[in-house]
Amino acid sequence: MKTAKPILFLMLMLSLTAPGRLFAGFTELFQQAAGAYDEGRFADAARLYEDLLNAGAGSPEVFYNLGNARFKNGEDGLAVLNYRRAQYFSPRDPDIRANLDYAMSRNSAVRRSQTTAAQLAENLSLREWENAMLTFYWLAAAAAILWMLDAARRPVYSKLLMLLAVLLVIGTAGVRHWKDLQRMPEAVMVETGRSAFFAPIESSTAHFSLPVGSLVRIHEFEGRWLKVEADGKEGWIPDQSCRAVYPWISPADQQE
Amino acid sequence: MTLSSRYARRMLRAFSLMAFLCLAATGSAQPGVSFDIQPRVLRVGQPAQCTITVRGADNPSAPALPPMDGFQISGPGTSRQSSFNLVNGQMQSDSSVTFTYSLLPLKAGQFTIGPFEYQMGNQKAELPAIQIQVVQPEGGGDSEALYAEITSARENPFVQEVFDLYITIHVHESINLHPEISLLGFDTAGLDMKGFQELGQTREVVDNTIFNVRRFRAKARALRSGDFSLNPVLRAHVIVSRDQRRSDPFRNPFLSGFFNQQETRAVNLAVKPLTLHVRPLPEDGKPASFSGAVGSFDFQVAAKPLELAVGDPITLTLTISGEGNLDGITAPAPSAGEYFRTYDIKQVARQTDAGGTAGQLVFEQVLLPQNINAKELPSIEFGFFNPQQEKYVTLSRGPFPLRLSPAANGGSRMVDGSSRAAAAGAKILGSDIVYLKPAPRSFIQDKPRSRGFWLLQTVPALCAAGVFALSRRRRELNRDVARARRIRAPRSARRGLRMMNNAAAAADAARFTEGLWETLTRYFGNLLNLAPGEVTADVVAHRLGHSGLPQETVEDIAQLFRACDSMRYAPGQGVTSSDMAEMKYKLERIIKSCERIKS
Repeated sequence: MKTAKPILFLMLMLSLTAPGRLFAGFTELFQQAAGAYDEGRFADAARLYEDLLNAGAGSPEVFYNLGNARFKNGEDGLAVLNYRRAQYFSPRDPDIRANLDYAMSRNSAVRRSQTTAAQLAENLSLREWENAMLTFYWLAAAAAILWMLDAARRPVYSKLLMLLAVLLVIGTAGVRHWKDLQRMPEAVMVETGRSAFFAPIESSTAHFSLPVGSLVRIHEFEGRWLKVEADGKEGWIPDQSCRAVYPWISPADQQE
Repeated sequence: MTLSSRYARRMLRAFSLMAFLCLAATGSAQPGVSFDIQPRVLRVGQPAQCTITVRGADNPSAPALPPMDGFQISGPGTSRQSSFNLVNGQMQSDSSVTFTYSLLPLKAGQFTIGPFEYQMGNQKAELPAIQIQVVQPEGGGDSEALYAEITSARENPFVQEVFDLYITIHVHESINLHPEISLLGFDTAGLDMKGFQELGQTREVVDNTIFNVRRFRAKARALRSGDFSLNPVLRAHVIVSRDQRRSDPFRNPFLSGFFNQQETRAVNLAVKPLTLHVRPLPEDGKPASFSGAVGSFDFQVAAKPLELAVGDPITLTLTISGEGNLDGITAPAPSAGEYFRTYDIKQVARQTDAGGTAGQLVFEQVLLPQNINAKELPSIEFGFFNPQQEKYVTLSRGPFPLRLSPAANGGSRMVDGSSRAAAAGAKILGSDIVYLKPAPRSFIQDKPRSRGFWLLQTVPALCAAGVFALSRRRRELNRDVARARRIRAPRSARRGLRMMNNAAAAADAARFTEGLWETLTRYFGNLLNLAPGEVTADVVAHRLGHSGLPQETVEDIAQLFRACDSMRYAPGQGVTSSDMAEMKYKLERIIKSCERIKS
């Protein structure tokens, strides 16, 4: 027992200090990247933010700042990509929205068409929708238990249950929307002068132009070609002309 | 009988015999593992073949050979053999899997390979140790035959300094190395590194041994200060002649020349690691014009035209040439003063070498003189850090005298931005993206949820289902009183049985009788849904008589009722402890029998 106490203390200290050290490393790298940005070394800043992402620091601030570094470095497509990734984590952030709109408008980029419901769904992040769904689920289960146990107040619990059931359906729909975006992801055009074709063949007729930074939705994969939708129109583009917003692939992969 | 029918019968007999042998006397060979290395005396750089053969196991796993000092291990290759043998009249099947490894000796010496343990299902096989003698190749010294190291041209470079990294591979002259070499697992986080270029091949003598030396160079630049540990692994390919691998009994020179008698073996070569300590740029002496350039540069500025009218454009051409972090250079921004209107500076040309570290950058800026009093363009400074001299250098060009004439539309003009802005309120002068965000509290957003978390989510559903089942059962029991009492019957008998137990232990006949009566009335009242007054021997016997209970048990129940009645109404009949124990035992047996029957 005498030896167990120091060991437990040591384990506790280790468990307390290890994440702190990791966090300190992230902060230092983040500051260095910001310093490079301030000095106008935008390519270096981007590399350092990507190092942070590769090390697992996937926060909206890192994606947003990486987007800024890309934008200042003249890589508008990659800037839009990272702003959009930041928006996935923090959808109501006005700075992210402003920079995303600015970067897209500078290139006259087009967006994918969205229903009102989808626009509403994207006001909350996937994690927020999951939390809401689980909260409604727990409350609905509690209300159902009370409904069964307390016969005298069943009319009240019935109304509460119906309300919670509706909210649960809405929460599930929100989660479903984001899961659909993971399954058939959005992509951002990173090559200039690209057009979408009528068929997955380089010699086929061009359908519509997709300026760099355009946000499209992937609908189909055909070898090295993607069938995408933007601005209500569908067409085929080569897969190297765009980058998928999800998953958060390594920036090294982005660079290829 | 015809010839063909006789032949058919013979064939039938032969097939029957073979089928019998196969079905009746087939066995499989004993499981086992054999281990061998050949040849056992060899030279550095000459590969040996290590074979581990596993017999009698269905799908044996490949043995994992531990790292061996002085050897590079590659493989395993896998081959399977199956055979049937007739041994002492028994057909035996023998299947074996052979795992083949290539051991490439890298230095001379006496080596002991093994012993190893090999796990084969539930059994462990011991593989014996094998002695290998490796001798130096002809004319060899004591060095390793194949090794690599990574070195830096600068021991402690500065952040942003471009420096050379070298990888040097020493290959003994007897080893034939394929030209293709690749880097595996080189962590370059925090470094901006271009690809390695081969500098050519030389010959060197180390410890009286002749080596072919191949050198590779890459331009690198640290993006942050601190320590970097560089320990890449190289994937090389050693060309081995097949004669070296196994001796050809015929040694046909014609065939050897005709067919390609060579093959390549992949070798993972650990590079002696290098720790770089990257220094931050000093704060002392940092000029205001420093904007991140590190290296050795020249700076030239040309301004044209210098004779012009007010409002006409002057083009400033700024050229930065030299060697350093050209990627990290931003154009020096001239502060032209209030007499000039300036436009954004733009990079118009970039000529660099393949590595992007030497060359020149050309920037242009357009300025409009707004006032006739603008006599000159002020000097422009470019500051950079020279890592060789370890100090900041500032290059200044200008000033450039101007000869201005009045504007073509007459008179000089001065744009007073401040007064105009004051008159019109806040005037939008430009647009740009929103600045960087500060460091977040947590860098790890939306951590993936654990399996335990999702398992926890089943709790509400399970609780609701449990409450639903319980309430439904309660409702059913409320509706069906007979069933509820039937379920409650064994529990209701417990108190009486406990009382009987205590009374029997204390030899208290009155209390025992009370307990017996309570047990009988409560248990059978609940079991048969009878009112308290209805629980009599006759009613109980009548009702249970139709329930499938054995007749003897029914009689035992009636007997117990009678005994209880007589003890209640004629106390002091001399009931002994053994009578009480027997009655209690009988009652428990009856209750068990009754619980077994279906209601």
